[in-house]
Amino acid sequence: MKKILVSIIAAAISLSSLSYFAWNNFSFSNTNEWSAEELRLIQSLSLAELPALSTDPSNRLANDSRALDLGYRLFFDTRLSSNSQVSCSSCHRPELMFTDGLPLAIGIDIGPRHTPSLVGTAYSPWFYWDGRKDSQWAQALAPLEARHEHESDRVSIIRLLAEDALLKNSYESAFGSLPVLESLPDSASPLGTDAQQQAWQDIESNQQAAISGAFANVGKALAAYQRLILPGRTRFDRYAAELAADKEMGETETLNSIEIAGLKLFIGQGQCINCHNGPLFTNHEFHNTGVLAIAGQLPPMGRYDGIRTARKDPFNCLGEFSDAIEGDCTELRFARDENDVVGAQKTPTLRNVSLTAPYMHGGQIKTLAEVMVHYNEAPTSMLSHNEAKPLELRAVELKQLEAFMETLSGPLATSSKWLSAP
Amino acid sequence: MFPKLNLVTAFYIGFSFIVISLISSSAHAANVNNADFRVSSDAGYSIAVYSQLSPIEINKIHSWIIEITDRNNRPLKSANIEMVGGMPDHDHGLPTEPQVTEEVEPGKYLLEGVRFHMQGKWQIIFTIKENGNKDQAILELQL
Repeated sequence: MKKILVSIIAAAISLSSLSYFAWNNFSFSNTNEWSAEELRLIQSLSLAELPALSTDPSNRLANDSRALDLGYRLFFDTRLSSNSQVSCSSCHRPELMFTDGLPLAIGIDIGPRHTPSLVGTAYSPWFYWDGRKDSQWAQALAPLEARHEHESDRVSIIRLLAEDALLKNSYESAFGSLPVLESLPDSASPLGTDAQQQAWQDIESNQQAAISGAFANVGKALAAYQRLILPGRTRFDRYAAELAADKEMGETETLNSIEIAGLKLFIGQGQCINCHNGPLFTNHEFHNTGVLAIAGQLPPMGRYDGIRTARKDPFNCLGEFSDAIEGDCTELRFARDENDVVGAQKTPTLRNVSLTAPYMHGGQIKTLAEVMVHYNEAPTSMLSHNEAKPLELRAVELKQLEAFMETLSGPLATSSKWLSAP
Repeated sequence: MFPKLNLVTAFYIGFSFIVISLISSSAHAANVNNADFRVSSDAGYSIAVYSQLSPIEINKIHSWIIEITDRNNRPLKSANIEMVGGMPDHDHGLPTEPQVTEEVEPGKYLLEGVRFHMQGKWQIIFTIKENGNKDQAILELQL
């Protein structure tokens, strides 16, 4: 009798374990049907929905071929660094979708943040993980003078332009004459070392303005180049196009059933589309998603500090080096700065996400599989609150979402001649 | 942050207006002309909203024209209008702080800096102060 009881219990345990295993690991969804709302959401993510890049009112040469020529040369030029070994392309490597594959960027020294991809960033109103810059050209200036990145300074950079015939010609054809550098120190900046800052203060204010103006033009040229770094069509986009033509279509050669199930979760129960929306899979906004602080650092204030920095930035949209009028600067003028943006970081694009590991603002999460687990659990934020809620997805569903992420990679829509050094 | 809606009415008027249902916002509202709205305030002001981005799309900053008339259908001049909003289902506010920057005509105000960053149900609260009176109106929209 006892034996029978033990057998029954053992059978019950194994049956329930088996059921739990099956529930967790087998797909039950029927992915062959899309609702009208799902079809609309899928099309909203398609690259076909991405409008042509509009002008940047703060950079009148954003679409200028002469500025592009200069920006392209400068992007790959290691002479824009204190040890002549670091260029923009050292961290923004074209072969890695303009990322570096590292948790934290390494320029002259190890930096405090993970290198974000540059793909499609020309569409964003904000730059840096905390949005401390409000244009692509203003962003491009900061690494040049940051101690852990290029560790250069604006006077050294203008000097380089003046002394290299090719760069000088390229600059002057786009922006006109370079400022006069005679009587100026070799190196000076309002942001550099104590000696550089002192040297900067010794320069007359009209000369300071001329140097900072030329320095701003360097950023505008770099932006003219970076505007060309655009995402290309992926398997997902082909599926969206097929679906637009035939709404009844289910599994195809373009996406398999696992990837389609992942897409269904992405726009539905997974809630990924809340922030990763539109054809670039980002709302360009700032969210606190409870990512652990970077090892050795305090939890960052994120957008709360970022917007305050942007407002004070002399290179912002409203500043003297911007080509915009006040009416063009709506993002900066009406930006939100309340407590609810504490700890919020910018939503990155998911285009090419499978090629741009590791993830998050400090590269804290190594793999996409771990990212899915992170969002499924939605841990408590160390600072302020996690906007995301636990998803309670099953293991198989996390795998489906991860499989869908793999469909978002494809060659850039950028001519190959711009993807390697001149 | 989001007071109960009891006096809100939303109705369809003419070509340029759409129905805003307070009970069950249609999931397909974004497919129609989702740009012009009309609501009444608690004290009976009539508020017409004309989005200068039509239809309203996510992730694009734009302006609204807000036209306010009193119970006698006269333009409400020199009013102070504040707009806040958010997504009740997601417990967060607007990504921007829109502000009225100009009264372009008597009773007609320019609201700049409007942007929505998620699809779904949004709730907008207008607070109108005029001549010592304070009044509120709530607009719900589905993007």
